[in-house]
Amino acid sequence: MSASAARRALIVDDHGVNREVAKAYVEVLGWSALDVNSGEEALAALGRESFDAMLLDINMPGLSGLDVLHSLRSNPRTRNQWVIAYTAHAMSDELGRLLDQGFDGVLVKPIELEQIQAELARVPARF
Amino acid sequence: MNREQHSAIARMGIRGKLLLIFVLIKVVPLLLLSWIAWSAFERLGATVSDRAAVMADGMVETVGEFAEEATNDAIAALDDRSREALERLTTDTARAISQFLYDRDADIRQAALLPTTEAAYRSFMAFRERALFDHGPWRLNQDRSAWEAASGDGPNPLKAARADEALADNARHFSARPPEFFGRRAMRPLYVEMSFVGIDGRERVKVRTGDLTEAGLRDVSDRRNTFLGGEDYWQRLKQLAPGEIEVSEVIGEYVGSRVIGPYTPAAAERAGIAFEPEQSAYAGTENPLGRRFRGLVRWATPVVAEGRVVGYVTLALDHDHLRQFTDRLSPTGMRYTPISDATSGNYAFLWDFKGRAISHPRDYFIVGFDRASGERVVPWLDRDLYRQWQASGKPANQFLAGVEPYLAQSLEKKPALELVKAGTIALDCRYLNFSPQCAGWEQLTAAGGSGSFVIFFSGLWKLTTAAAIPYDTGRYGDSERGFGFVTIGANVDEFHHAATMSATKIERALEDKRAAFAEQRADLFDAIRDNLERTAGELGLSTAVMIGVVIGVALWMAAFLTRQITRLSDAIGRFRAGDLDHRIEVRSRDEMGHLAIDLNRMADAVEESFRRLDDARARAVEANEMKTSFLAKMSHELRTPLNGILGFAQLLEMRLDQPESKKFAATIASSGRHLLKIVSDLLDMAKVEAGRVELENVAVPLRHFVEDTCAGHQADAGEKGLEFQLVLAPELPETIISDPLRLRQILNNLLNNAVKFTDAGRVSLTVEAQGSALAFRVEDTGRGIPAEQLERVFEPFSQVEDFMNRSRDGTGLGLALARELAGLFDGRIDVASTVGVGSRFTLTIPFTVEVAKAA
Repeated sequence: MSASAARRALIVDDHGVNREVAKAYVEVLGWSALDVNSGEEALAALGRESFDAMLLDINMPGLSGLDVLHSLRSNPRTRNQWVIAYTAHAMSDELGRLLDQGFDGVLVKPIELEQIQAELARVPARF
Repeated sequence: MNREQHSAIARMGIRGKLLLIFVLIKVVPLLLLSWIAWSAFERLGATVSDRAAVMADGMVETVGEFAEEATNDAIAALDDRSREALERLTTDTARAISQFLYDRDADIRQAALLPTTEAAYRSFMAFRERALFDHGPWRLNQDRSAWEAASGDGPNPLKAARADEALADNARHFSARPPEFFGRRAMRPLYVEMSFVGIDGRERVKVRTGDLTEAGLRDVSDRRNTFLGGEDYWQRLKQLAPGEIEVSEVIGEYVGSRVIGPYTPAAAERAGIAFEPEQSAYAGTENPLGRRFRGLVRWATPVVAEGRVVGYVTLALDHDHLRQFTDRLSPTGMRYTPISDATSGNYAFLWDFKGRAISHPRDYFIVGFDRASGERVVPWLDRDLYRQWQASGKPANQFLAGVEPYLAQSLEKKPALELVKAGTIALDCRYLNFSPQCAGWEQLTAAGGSGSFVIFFSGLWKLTTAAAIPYDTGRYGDSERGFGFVTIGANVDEFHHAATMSATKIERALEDKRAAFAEQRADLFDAIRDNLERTAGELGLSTAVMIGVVIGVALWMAAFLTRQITRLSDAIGRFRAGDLDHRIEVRSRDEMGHLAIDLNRMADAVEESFRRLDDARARAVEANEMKTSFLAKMSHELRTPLNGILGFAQLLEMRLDQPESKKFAATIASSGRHLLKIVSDLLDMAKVEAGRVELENVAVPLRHFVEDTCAGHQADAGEKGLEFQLVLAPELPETIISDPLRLRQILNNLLNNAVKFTDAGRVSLTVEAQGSALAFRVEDTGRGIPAEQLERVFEPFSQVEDFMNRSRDGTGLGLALARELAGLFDGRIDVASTVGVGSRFTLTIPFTVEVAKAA
């Protein structure tokens, strides 16, 4: 694992508790994190700074997780942003579809430390 | 009927079947009836025709038989009568000749008394003459194929007595002939020569009436000085006593011919000679211009003067007078002819006492002398005899003297053509071996008798008669036959000409009758045939019309029925195609109408059912979708708070230092996990029930899969102090095609329960192949399940508290879900259990072995 100061995650969830849980886990794992409560804010945050990974909820009022993903993937600057779906949808077919749609990883709520640890381990180093 | 025909009929359709039925019950009997009727008519016609023919033939045959018998009788009678008449003519002729010859004896006796002076002799000869008849001039006909009389001489029919002038009493069979016509009459001296020969053989007196013999007085003791050098009388004269008479044989020069039959230019050409009829022998109608045979018969007797023989007087009879007895005879209705006709087969001959021809219509057949040798020319021989003669190298006379006469004469023998070519064909019956009638004549006349026989000769059936000429003067006295014999040949057919004519008439009449019968029969046949044809036409027409009507009715009925059925069928088709509102128009009140009504009612019912079914299906789909949506939402909604609970519980546990607090936090996390498990199982249940789970088909390495699955449970069992046994049967396949996640889910459930509910002893998993199925048997030595509760364990949230202290991590859905999943594999889960001993859960799923990929 690279130096913790260098790793930073953006957590996007309209549900405050889940934002906090995710942020806590990420921080436990030595990452820093910014959490925002909407897709719009997430895009704004991405406009301001860059993140090694992004935990993105799907079901959100306003821009959904998918809307945000599509927006990112259609922008050359953010096209390669590592995005991990952070969702309570647990149907296996839905999960498969998420990967097909362009997510780089999936974390199904409820998450536990081991899962988020494994998923973050997959995030490639930033240049 | 075999299956194919069956199916052919089955495929035929109603129209075809109706047609077939009509054809079978109507057309076939019609045709059969027509055929029977036709056959009967035809048979009747044939029978009538045949009977008529038999009757007609029988009648004609009977008449024919009678006619033939009558004709044969008539022919026999006529033949008999003719034979009788001909034989009589023959004997009469022989007697006439005999008389004539005896008259010549009288002449010579008288001559012997004459003074031996030329004057006395001349005056004697002057009154010795007799009429000869001649046929006058003849010539070749127009096309030079035959000879014809140049003058119209003939009998004058006007001189015949008129039958119509006969008295009534004489009128029956009044037969009249004109004066017989023999030809041109001319008086000719009987003798060609009269001489007186001295005792020394020298002629002292000679008087001639023509120039046949030579003038001048000769020494006849030398034969060479006699007529043709052929006379031998001098030797015989010296034997004669006064009063005795010597009569010679016929002496004449042979006249030959190289043509037998009509001497015409064509015949001469065939024979390879020039056409010179005058140079060839006379032959009556066949060569009227030919050279005639001229001969003589010499009578002689001693002249006595003063008691002693002083010399001999001879009288040479002109042979023409002798032959006239037969030359003018015609054994036909003509009776006499001025010219003999050898062609017709009706003619008479004379033969001398040795059987040599001395009179014949064909002069070349008359035996004569060769002037040069003074001997008779060789007669006509058969081929064999001719060859023998040639081989002998002897003169003919010497050779023939040693030949047996009448040797095996037969029509089989062939004449020597060399002699024909030489033109020497004189007939000497003794050696004419290809002419068996010679032997016949010899036989008839040998003792002076007469008779006849019939022989097929030269292409004609000939009656041939023979009668000896009774004459016994001189040398002829030594022969019982006398001077010789007369033969008459007649064409037999001419005798029974009348009968033949009658027969021909009858035959013609019969032919006419037969033709008439045949015509009648043909008419009858035509009539019958016309009748038959008309009947056949009518029968055929009526049959055709009836068949047409039958087929028309069949077609109409078929069309009527099939139209109705087709209408129904179309309506059903449209209904089936989805036009549920379509109904059949009811047009009739018969069975078809009822069928239409019933079908309409059924359509109503079916349409209603469809409608209800659609509604129900739509509702079910909707409900299912709602359920799924609800479950998904519920799962989402439950997981969202669970995320907080689990996450913070875990984080809390990590941060707390006090063990008791830490345990509380862990309990919260564990409870959250339990809840999560319940939610997951519920979701799985719902998905299975909603049919949203589809099994994967991937290759599963069985042994590794099972061992991997067992690993966790083995650890759990070890923690509880239980023995864990994994038994893999040796016959298991290496790899199967299955869904490993779902299969593991089931096995986990069963193994979880086994470990969970067993406090001591052992848990085992046994995997076996059972035919095409795999059995996964999970056994434990746990508490067991009471029999009455066995099936309830598969119910969700079953309350089996008594035997199963639900562990805090049980969801109550495990076995239910396992059984549902097993169903997805087309498999099942069976349970057997004994309380206090243990339980056995067996998962049985059919398996597919991975197909080895082609190398």
